[in-house]
Amino acid sequence: MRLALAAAAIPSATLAEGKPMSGLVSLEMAITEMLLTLGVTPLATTNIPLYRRLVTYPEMPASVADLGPFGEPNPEYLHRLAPARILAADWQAPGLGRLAAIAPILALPLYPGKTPALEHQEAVLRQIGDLCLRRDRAEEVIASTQATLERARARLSGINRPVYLCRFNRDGRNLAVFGGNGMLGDVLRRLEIANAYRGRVNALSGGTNIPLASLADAPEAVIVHFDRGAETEAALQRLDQSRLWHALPAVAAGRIARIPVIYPTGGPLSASRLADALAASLPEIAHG
Amino acid sequence: MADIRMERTRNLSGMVAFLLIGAGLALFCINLIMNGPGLDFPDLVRRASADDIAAITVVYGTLPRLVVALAAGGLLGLAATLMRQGLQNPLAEPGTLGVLAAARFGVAVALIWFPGLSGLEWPVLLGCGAALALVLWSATGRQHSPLSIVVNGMVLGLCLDAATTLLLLSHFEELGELLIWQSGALIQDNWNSALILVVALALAGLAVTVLRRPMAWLGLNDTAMKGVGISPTTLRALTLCLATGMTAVVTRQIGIVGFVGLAGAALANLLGSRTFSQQAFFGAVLAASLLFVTDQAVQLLSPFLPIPTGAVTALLAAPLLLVLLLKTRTSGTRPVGRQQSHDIETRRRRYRTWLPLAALVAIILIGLAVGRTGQGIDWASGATFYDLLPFRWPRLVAALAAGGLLAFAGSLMQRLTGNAMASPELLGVTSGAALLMVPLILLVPTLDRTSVMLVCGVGAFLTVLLSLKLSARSGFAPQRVLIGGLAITAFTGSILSVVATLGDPRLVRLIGWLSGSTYNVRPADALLAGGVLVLVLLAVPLVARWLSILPLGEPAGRALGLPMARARLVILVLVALSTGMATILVGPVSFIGLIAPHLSRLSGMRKPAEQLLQAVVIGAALTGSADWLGRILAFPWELPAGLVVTVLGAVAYTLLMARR
Repeated sequence: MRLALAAAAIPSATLAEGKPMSGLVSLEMAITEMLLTLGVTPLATTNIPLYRRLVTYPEMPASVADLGPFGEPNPEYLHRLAPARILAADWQAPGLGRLAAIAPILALPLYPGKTPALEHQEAVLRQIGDLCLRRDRAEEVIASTQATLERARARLSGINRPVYLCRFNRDGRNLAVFGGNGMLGDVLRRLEIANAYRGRVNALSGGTNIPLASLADAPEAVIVHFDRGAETEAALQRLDQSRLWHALPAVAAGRIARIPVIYPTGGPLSASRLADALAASLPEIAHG
Repeated sequence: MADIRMERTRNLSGMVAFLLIGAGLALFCINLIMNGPGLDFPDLVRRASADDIAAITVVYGTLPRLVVALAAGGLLGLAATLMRQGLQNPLAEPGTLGVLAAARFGVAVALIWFPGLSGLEWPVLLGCGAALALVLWSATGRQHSPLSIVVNGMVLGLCLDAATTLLLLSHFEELGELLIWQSGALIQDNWNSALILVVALALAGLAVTVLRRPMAWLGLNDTAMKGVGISPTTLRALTLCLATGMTAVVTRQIGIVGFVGLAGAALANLLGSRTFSQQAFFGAVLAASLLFVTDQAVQLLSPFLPIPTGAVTALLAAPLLLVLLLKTRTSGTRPVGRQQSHDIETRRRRYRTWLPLAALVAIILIGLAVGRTGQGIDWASGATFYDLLPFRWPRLVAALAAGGLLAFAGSLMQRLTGNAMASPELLGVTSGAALLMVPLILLVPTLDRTSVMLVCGVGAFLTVLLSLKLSARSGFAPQRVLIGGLAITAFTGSILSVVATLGDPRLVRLIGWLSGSTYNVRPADALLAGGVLVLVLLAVPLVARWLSILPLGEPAGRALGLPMARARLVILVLVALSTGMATILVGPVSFIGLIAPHLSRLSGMRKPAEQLLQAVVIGAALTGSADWLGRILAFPWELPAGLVVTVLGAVAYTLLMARR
């Protein structure tokens, strides 16, 4: 909760600019996160329950309409809301051509490609800031994100152990691990913490699925896993019955931390929330 | 009852089982050596207790998995042999009786509405038991005809699978566990499941050994059994309950593993096991060795192709089923079509003939005018109506056309084969059409929906040919053709589920279409489908005379001067064209082609051409309402029209069977 308040405090700057652009619709969660970070409430977005579970902050205002799934946002409902502009991720846009008849679609590039992911997301935030006449607010958010990262880096400077950043599947046999040039991997790099997972990851989410036994590849590592509520409870129950789990050096030595879920392709606010969470949890378990 | 005729007298079951197990063991050794830890088991156990990760993976993962595969396979083989014996039907097994689909549905319901329930034992057991009871009950009116039991079981299974898919779409978050459980992955990380299954196998083996003599009498006729002093009904019920219990235990532990039991039991019979004791023993052993080999092969391939074992067993067994059906000749006479397909009509002639058309008009109006907003149900009128029209007409037209086309194809097939159960869905024609799409979409990446619809027609045509061949081989015994069709449907289902785990975006898009989503129907697709419907309807006057003669059978047709070969070909092309077009719009399992012609007869239509047109009206009305319901029920989410119509269609099928 302390983390949440700290993070939510970032965008509460004074309203120096004019009225932000209204009538925007966002079809993707990272874009929604960035809009809300800039203090712009979209007219509607897709899959609000999933946003509340995976992105969480900034909190979704009750006034935002839910259009249904990412792949098939409800066209009639969208049409009735008469938006001025539709913001979508570039990977979504090809399937949504029909919606262009309702309002112009702006496809934002969410694949970081070779640019470090955080830098890329900051550029997207600036682009959205320009679009909603909130460029100044965007610069403030970026500056405060960098300050948060720097504070966390200083606090974590004594830690030499590599970190697995992961999410356990319900079956207790596989897990999603994050790294590479994804947003989560990039935050680790900024904090000067070694990522224990060095394999390939999916270009969009910066994660991949690996079997449980792979967590033994870096015996000295710390395991940090994301808490997805009931799913994580079920996973931990099954892991507890697994002989392999208890044989993992990190588990045997208690070098394991459970932190709030962070959306792996989220924007600068998600990045600062990860940095805060790591700064709060790692020092207790990662020394020695 | 059709049994398999054997020329061989020697029982080769033992030898084949020995070879299979040998192959499995060889694969097992390769797996162990390739993964590094080697074959020195005492050393592995020692290293595992010293927390060596590689050794732990073997001792607590690979070894229990081997035991689980053998014990689960044995239980499923034994269960299938018992069902086969109890129902005196070579095709009875947990998968074909809808028991597995019911277990899956039970688990889905439990996860969504009873989240506090600890463990999945009760939902699995209740699901399995209810399915068995339902299937047996559905056949009581028809003297427990063995094949009608299997057909009802498979229809029940398809319907429950559609219902589970609907639940998955609407409750994806709660059902994450179901997705993992249902795939039938045998991966283990402790010895719990292995121990449970071994104990269950031992108990089941003991029970069957004790009861082997009375169970063997189930093969005799009922009067002979009464002479021995046992109620055949009690014994049959006991046998089936035992088999269902064994299935439930396996399903609880490792998820859905389809068709392995059937394959084991069928192989044992084919290889020369004659007595019930031999069949039970070798059925279990062969099923165990099949699952063992498959699972080891899956483990060997898993770094390149992570497929759960349960999905692959269906891929092996469905073709086996088809081969068995093609190899087995039965003496059967072609049923007289009139008797089969017209018995309903005589009873309900005075039905209101205009009701379906009125329903169709109503559903068109409702579909175009009524929607749902954040506030609730909403009638659009005036300017709003025209404003929303571009969103509504393409999908409505596509849904109506798909239903009409399937009804058209179903009516033609029922006329052509003289079989009241023939329909593009039950004969696997829609699935065959979908199956051809998988390689095609990979080889020709730029296909859009329109060209996909046309290619689907080719797949449908090939499947109709296959099913006619099956039908000729089996002396036109109608229900054997149905089993063949259901095997094709099951095969396509597992191909699609494997494809889904590969996650290729092009194939995922195909699966989206095949679930019957009308979301992305463009005006051009809708106009094409509607155009084809009009085109095939224009052919009705040309084929009307053939349609009244064909059900009488070949000799009668020749005697009346019908050009049999040409008539068949023209009708086949019409069936393929309409089925291919419709499949890509509402998916392979919609039951419209089965139901609409029956409902048309119920409404009192008697002449073939009238019946055909009425069926088209009814089919269109059904899919039209499914599309509208899909738009309304889960707003703002949309349920695919194809899935809604499957559930509607299966309910209609059940009512139809209850009436007969």
